[in-house]
Amino acid sequence: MIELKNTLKKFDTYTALDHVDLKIEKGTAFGLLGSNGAGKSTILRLLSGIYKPEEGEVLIDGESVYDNVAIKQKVFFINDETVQFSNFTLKELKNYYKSYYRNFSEETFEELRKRINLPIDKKINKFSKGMKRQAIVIIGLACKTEYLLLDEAFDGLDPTMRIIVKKMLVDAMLDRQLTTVISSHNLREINEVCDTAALLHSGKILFSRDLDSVTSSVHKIQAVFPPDENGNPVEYTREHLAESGLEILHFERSQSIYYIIAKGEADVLKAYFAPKKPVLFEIIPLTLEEIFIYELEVLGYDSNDIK
Amino acid sequence: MTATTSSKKTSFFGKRYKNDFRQNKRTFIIHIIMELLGLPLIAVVGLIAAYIDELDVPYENVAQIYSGCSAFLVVGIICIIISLFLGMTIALNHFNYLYKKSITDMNYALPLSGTQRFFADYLSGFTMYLVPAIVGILLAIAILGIGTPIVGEKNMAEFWENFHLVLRYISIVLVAMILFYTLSVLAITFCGNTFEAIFSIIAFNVLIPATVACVWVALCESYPYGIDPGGIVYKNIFTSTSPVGAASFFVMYAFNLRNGETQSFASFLFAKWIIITLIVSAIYLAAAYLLYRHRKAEDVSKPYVYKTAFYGIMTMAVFCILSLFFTLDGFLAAGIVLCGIGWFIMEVITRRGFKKFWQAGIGFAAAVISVVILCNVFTATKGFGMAKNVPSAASVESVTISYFDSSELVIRDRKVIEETVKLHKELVDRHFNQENYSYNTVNNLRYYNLEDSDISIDYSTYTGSTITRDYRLPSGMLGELTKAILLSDEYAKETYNEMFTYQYNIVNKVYGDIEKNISIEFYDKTGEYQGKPADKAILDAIRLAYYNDLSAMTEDDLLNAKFYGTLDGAFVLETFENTIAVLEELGFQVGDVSVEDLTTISYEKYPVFHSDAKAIFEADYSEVNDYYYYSDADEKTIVDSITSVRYVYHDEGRYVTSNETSIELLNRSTKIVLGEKPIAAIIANGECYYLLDRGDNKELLEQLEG
Repeated sequence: MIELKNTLKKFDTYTALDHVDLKIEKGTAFGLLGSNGAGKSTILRLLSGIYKPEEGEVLIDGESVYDNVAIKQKVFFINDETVQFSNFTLKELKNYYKSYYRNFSEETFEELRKRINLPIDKKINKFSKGMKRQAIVIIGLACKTEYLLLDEAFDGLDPTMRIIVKKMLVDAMLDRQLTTVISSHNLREINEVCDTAALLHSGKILFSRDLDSVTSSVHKIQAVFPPDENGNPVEYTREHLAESGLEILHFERSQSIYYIIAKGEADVLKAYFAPKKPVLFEIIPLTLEEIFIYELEVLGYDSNDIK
Repeated sequence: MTATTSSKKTSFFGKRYKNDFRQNKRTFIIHIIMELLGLPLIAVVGLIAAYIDELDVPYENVAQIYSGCSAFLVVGIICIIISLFLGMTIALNHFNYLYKKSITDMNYALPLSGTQRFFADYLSGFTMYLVPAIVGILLAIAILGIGTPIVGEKNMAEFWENFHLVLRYISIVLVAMILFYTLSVLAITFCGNTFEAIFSIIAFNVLIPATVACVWVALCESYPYGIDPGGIVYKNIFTSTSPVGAASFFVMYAFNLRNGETQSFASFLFAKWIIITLIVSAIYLAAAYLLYRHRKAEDVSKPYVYKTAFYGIMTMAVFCILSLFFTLDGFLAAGIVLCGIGWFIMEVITRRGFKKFWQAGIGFAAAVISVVILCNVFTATKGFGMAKNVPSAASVESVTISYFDSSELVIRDRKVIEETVKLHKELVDRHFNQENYSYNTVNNLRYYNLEDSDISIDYSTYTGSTITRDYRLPSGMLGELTKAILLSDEYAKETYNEMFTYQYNIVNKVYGDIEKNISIEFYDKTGEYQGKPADKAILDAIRLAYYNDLSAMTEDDLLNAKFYGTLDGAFVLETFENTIAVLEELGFQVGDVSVEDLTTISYEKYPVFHSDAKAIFEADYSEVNDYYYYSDADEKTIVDSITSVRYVYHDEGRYVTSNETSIELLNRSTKIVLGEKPIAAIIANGECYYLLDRGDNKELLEQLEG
């Protein structure tokens, strides 16, 4: 299991992670979501033992990761760079990692390599960005570590290759309970691969839940309310609705139609609005991307504000 | 499908080490090529040159061949220089993840501890740098070994005779390489960017020795009495802390040995230098390791991970420049402006702009103020009283004395060390407490026959430090020290080693052991020399006899025994029974001179000896010529004693026809005067001997004219 306990990570005066607590159960495919500079890559680098936290603990299977060879043996980290080890051929790069990771599997490597048809004796600096990414992913999987950390994992891959790589990851997760932590801006892919996710913003975790519950916990409501007894239109404000306990991420009114993004199960929301006897009431589940945008909007990270 | 896993259990350190090697194999191959083209090529050229000497080749052809050889020699030297500088490249390659952001993650994420990673990288680079050099050296030796029978043993005899010295040169170079590589690694650990990493390596290598040298010169100039600025080449803080210093030690060592000074101070310091330089390298390594462990992965891409390094480099540069300008009146401001320009340019580069640039101004001001204060402290404290520093005899392991015409002699004899320290203390006291001393000065005396001597005293202490001093002094002060030296075992051994050097060279290099074409010469008191042919066995026999006699010589012998003459420059006393026996067996006449041997003789009764003593101890300048320049040529000091050992010049004297008395006085006179005043100078055939106040010498002297 991965645990971050009250972890603080600073880069000089900049706080990248602000006393973060996070738990990732073994065998989970965990997605790290967040705005740029939210702290996703910092978490991955802390988990791979590259960074040392200023405060708090970063634990894998109950042990601190930093400078811990036994724990690092269980973790493989793929960062978002593609230029490293450019002087190697794929074979040399495989041998390089094979010498460090005791469980390295030649069979797995060969099987995956053949599946994506990567040349074994060609210099990696002659590879395209996508091929470099595939190369390091298959090596990462062949290392047979218990934890695989991927930073912008699918960056540079063409759509077909994305499917193949995702399948490789899913197979590994199913075959050997591989714990995968993936950071990505591509929420659809996180949605497809991960079962749990955390949303980060400005070094803090906004939520960390399984994705099903995330997508079922925020809904978009379109409603039209009837006039009062005197025939006047009923005026609902955001504050009015919030006062009565509704957690609203977004509120908009166009003439008599209300567009509300609110947190809560569909049944709960229906029950909330039922006493107001809406003339029109439609409740629509949100995609992960929409939830991401609306959650961050509440925190002032709104694309409309960016001129 | 069942996956097989590699379960081999080898250390991660070893894996990292091997992988580092694989990653840098190109540099390794280049280094191997350079090393194979370096010393081995020079060895081949050396063999060809030796072979050409042996052949009867016309001069024009020899010149042509030598010219071709020279070209290869230059290629070999260039390759060696390149291979030496590869130490910097190898260090940069092995620690590239400290200043290249793109590869930092992959190195830090590997299942290795920081310690494993650091030492594997260090040792991998170390091997890559040192092993090709050692291979090159071994190959060159093998080439010379194989080539020697081909070109003729005799042509290579000198090389193989001095092979132990060659091994010492090689040791110095290898240790200097370790120092260079380790210092480069240390410089890299301070930096997080390629430019700064390269700049820091160069800056460390240049500025460490430059700063040490500038501090030393500033200290020397603060109060230069007796201080030898050139003594820095013996200071470990200069020679052991940087490759430039190591190179200066190499040059000094090679220069001394080339001059045949196998017993030189540098030669004596060799082992200590090796040990201290390795210790310094270990300290650099420890510092690099601590800095490496302390720095964070995220520090990469910062110009300087430790800003102290940048300000350290810049302050050293400012010190070097300002300390030079400090001595030039009116130029300090120009120096500050020059430093300021350099400082601000470097600040702009390392800050990548003008962010918080006011801090650069504060930094520069602080550096300038520190340097000016330091220079003033040097002056105010007269170089921290360095000129007064005399080590305690107990702390001195050896002393190297050079005076009169003698070559350097390294002595560990406690008595000699005590006498040296005693003399040194008196010299310092005479200079710093001049009010306690008075001199019997006279004007308008001859100034060209001064009884003064220069002396170089180089101490090596048990802690490994060195203290070097140069003085000029009245020779009479050297009496006790000279006595102690002449009675020491080391003097006897050194004399044994040096005796007949010229003749041995002829035996070894030209004629071999067969012919007796060499000659040994004995100068008796008539001033004439007697020569006899000899071979190596005879040389060995005389040398051993002389060594036995010198070792057995007592103080009484030295002071009172009759002086019979000189053998290869070494004195022969009447107590040297073994030597005299061998010489007489060979047909030499050793002993007293008789009236028949000399027709005339000259003498000077109660000669007056004078010195520049007062001017010497009042002068601030250590350089010999400066004493003459600053002394009052007309004012001389009458001295009560002199010290003289070998060559004595005396141009005065009253000539008389030889008679029993004058010959007896000549037989009683000597060239060895140890801190006393002779009662007469006796000159025979231009050779001057002194008559000392012994027994009835005075009475006999008075009879001379009667």
